[in-house]
Amino acid sequence: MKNKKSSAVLLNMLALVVILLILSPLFLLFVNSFRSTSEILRNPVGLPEFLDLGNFLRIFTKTSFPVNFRNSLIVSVSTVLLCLGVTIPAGYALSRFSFYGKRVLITWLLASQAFPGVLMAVGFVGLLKALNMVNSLTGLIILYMSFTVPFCSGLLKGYFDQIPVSIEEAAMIDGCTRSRAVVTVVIPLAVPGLIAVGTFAFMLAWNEFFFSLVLLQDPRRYTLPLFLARFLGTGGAVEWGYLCAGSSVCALPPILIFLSFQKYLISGLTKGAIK
Amino acid sequence: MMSHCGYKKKLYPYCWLLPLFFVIGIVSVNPLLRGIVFSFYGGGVFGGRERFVGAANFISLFKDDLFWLSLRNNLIWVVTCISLEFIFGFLIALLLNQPCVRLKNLYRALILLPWATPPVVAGLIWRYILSSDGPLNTFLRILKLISNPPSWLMEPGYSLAACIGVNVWLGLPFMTVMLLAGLQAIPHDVYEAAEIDGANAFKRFFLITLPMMKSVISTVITLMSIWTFNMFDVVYVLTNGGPGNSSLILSLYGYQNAFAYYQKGYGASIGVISLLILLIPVSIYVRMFFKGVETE
Repeated sequence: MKNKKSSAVLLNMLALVVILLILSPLFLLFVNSFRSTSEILRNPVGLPEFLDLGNFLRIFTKTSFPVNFRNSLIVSVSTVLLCLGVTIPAGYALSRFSFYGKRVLITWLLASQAFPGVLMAVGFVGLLKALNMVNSLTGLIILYMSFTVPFCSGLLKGYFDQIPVSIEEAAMIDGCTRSRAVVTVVIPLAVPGLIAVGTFAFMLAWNEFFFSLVLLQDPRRYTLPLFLARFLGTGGAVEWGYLCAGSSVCALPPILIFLSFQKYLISGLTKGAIK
Repeated sequence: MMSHCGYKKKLYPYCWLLPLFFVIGIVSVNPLLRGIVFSFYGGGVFGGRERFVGAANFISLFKDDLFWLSLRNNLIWVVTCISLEFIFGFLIALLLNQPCVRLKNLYRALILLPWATPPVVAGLIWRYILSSDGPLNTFLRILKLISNPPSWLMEPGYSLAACIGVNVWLGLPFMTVMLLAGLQAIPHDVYEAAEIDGANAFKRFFLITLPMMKSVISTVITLMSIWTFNMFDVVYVLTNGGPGNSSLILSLYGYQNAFAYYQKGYGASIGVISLLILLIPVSIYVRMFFKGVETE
């Protein structure tokens, strides 16, 4: 019995160590954003000598960081709204109706996760040039639909599958049209799913790098990941202090959003794989 | 439903799908087909004349040493990343699934944080951690594990391995959480019955756990292989393929050709080759998806 108890303590400690080890790079990032570059170089692993906000002050006042932050926010929020607008009716239809071409559509949605970025980017530049949207955030938002919409419509279908058909049928027998039944009965029940899908779309758009690298040339149009990646290339020694502060601010929105909605997210993510 | 009959009823679902068809047509079908067509053209991306060159891009691709190098690196990259993620992910999932381990839900949420981190930010942190006088090497020196640790990202022998390590850090959380969900879906009484029958832990793992997790394992491995194959951000930020192309992978080589050397067609042809290779895991993934739907 005693043996069992000590092994339980050991396993708990092991789990804690594993989690801390996995999180240590993020911890290092946040700590270093409060230390000056010279302090970081002097002592690579250490706590801040005092709470130095100089890095944050500097990136917010002396660089284009605020503009790039705003760009990222505009792009991500627009992507979420557009994506939900398209995937709510689509996810519902995929869940409820059988129709000619359904298999092809689903196959395409699944396969689009594998489309190489360079192929899509090359194909897109022609279209965006025709629309005069090269180097524009609107063009980028359109591009972001190409991976958020397929992923999110499949996910949302899963959430609609969980809502019993009998609920909307009852409403329709009472004289509702189907679209009215969906708006008044089904969508309120699907709110957890909508939150999960919205969060996913936000994280995908906020974290995306490749398409913004290809499309955006004007630094004032850069999104945050692009700004941070370019930061490294600008002359001589890397200013780790500024870079860590900027990276922390960039990583914070997706991490906070994820932590607040993780309950909905994890169930949606894992449901697809467990049959 | 009742008021719609005949062809009207048949057309009804498409009303709901109209926005999806519109969007997929413009942002998915169209660029993919255009991209494939461009792989038969030579010329620049932003301006420059393009002309039809037939299979010339593919022919020069097969004579291009850098293409073969990046293809080889890409295969090493995918296989190593997925194997490491699977082994460590499974071990961590087994650990977190122990009944005596507390705070499971908290751990499960925290372990996913690297996955929520922007890959560019992950690349930047690790570029700092792995730099020659960075935290990792300081740590190794203090512990006297290696007296003279290498500059991980600057030496050809280590650069690809370093990129793989960072990508494992990014991918491990998702793998772990999926495998953990698979473990939690196995009913307890199966284990109890096996225990009564005298099966030891080793036997229980290979005769119950693994077979019952078959569908989760195959789904998550196929899906993550596809994502890993096309990964770009981490390598771009960490090494940009260097030093001396030692960590060049296909996505990066395609990008460099199409957007840095302005050979759009050549870059597109690298994308076409990637797509052709990816058709294998994609067809497995699609088949598994429909099989799962039918058995529901």
